[in-house]
Amino acid sequence: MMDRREFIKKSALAGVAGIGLVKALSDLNPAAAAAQPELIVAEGGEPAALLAAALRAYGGFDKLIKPGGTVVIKTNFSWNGPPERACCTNPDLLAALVKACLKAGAKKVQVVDLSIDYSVMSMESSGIAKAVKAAGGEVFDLSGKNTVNKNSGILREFPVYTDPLKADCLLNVPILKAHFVTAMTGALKNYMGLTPDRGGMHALGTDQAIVDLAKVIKPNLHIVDAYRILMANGPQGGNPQDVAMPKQLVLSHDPVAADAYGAQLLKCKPLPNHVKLAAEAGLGTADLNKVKIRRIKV
Amino acid sequence: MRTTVRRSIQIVSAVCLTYLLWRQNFITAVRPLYSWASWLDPLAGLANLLRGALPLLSLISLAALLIAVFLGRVFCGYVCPVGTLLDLIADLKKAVHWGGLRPGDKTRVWLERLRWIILGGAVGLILLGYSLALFVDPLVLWPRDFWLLINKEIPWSLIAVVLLGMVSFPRFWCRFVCPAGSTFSLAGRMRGASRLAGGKCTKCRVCVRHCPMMNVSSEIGFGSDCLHCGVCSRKCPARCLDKPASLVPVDKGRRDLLLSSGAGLSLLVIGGIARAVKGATVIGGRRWARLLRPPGALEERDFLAACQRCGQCLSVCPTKVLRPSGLESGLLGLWTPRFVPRLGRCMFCNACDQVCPTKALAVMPPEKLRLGTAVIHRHLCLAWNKGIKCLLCVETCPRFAIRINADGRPVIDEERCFGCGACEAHCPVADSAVILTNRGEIRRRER
Repeated sequence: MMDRREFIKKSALAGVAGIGLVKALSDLNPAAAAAQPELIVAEGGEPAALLAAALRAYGGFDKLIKPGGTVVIKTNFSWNGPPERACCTNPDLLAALVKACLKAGAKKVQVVDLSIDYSVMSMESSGIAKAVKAAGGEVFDLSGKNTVNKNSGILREFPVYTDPLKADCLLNVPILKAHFVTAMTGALKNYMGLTPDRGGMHALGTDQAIVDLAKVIKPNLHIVDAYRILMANGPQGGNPQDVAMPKQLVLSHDPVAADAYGAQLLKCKPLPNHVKLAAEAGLGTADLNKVKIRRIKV
Repeated sequence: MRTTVRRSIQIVSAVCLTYLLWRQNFITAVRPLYSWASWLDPLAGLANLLRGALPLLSLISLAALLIAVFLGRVFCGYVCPVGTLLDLIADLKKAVHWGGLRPGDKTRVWLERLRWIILGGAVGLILLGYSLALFVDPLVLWPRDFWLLINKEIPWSLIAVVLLGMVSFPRFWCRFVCPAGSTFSLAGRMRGASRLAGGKCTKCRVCVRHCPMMNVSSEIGFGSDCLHCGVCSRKCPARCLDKPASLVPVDKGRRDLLLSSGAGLSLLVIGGIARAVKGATVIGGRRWARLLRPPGALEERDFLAACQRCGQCLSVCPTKVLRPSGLESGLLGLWTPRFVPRLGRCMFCNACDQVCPTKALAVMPPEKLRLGTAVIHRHLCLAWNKGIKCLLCVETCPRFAIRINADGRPVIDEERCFGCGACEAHCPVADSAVILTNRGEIRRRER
């Protein structure tokens, strides 16, 4: 029979053991393990090599892409200009990405955006149409496609294209650029091509609209093209002296962290407002000190 | 046999012309594949003779005219796509046994007079400096209705022509309206010859009834509107039309012709004089609406003289920002192309310049490209009026001609702006807070 002292001792031990057990279990739980945001940064090579290295570090596409599934790559071909102008995502990166998705077993890989310039010209001059088709993917502009209305914050009954939302895997592949309106454009701002009503977002206040849109769209992975970036006069560019070539690629599940890193590359101080608001809304971590950055040299 | 050959040539011609039109549309590179076609109308040659422009293409008009002198209206019978359509209508009417109202002899006299009035009027308009006359040319009508069809609008020109053919006889348009046809007919008269039935003629008038162009008059005289279709030869029971027999000039209507064309011409010359004297357009209007033209356009006066209103520039524009104008530059500016920035921006791709048959629009060097200047209406602008960080105009300007001032508001650099219209196209404010105006636009001089 236990006396009071023994009971208290045993309960305390059980409690401590219990807490310890829960903690141990949660360490084994992959979700909890990924609770600390992580960026994989590959640098010092050509886009295809950067992607290969980053994917190796990430562990491959197999857990993201189911065999026979559809992958939608939301990229940037919004502007009419060649790759050297750094106004659209790098075509070599997209070609390599399409190939990687097909290799992982995807049945269809669709590269999409809502171009602001005339879409046929943008897709051609950026080299994206040719590169993606050669790699075995489809490329098309979202203009005219079906939409569904979403409500989020200041966005009321707001149309969003359904095809990217219905995909088995949605990859967000922006190019990192400076921007006149939002100081920078990276992972978070790239979502704007998923709605026909970009104008509406600007009219409501671009920064908060970006954050509210990011609350209802959840890409499976963010791959930020930082091979050739626009340091000033973005998003359209045009001055060769504004283009820099860090030759990097950022892979992350956390768009806020990816953008915070991008802001650093762009020498954007202070942190752009929409990234700050996104962090405050709980969409990710903007403080790079709290983010685990794995650098891989190619 | 001739019928099959003729009908085959007709179909091939219509299909080829339409294919060239369609292929011309901007995919990634535009080629002027159809632009030469409207020069087959001698009136186009006349219009440009007066402008002193494009001498090489005028040779096409001259060639067409010469062919008409020697072979009559073979163009109408073998090449013209509108004629092909009307012959198909004729087949349709025959299949459903629908006769239609064929004009009697008396009506025919008045219709002939009307026809020459129309031609006189067309020439008069050209002399006054308006290519509006070519509005009704079949090879201008074709691309215009092509544009209407691909934009899911009513191809009213073709419908009018077809309706005339359904109600009356199929080739009514060709015989009594089309100025190009009338010109060919006139050219045919210069040879002064026509076909007369040989000695075996029994005056049965079968040829009079069956000629698709009502070219045979009751006195068994053949006019100058022969399509060389061979129907009269085939139908003649006495077989007197197998070979062209003695040729007798038909001058029965010459006095009438001269009087009627004179009437048409004089109406417009009077109008022109009145305009010059009063300094105001008689049937035109002042420019009251904001009227922007495509890049590379001539000065307005010369532009109205040169533009055939064929709509090829409208079809070829990649951003689909060119629309036909209504009465914004007067009745005489009807259906000329205007640039509507609210629909999108001009990419300065020069596709319109490359296909314009008369070079009313022509390629300009890049430093001379300026369609106007944008102006921000600050009371409407969300940034100026409400302090909202919109700034979409700043983002979409391809020339960095809109800057953000210290208060975060957009300001246009009027020196840099070249009038592409991107700002007006994307402004989220209803009816746009930033408007492209004509100020600073650069137009070409004819000489």
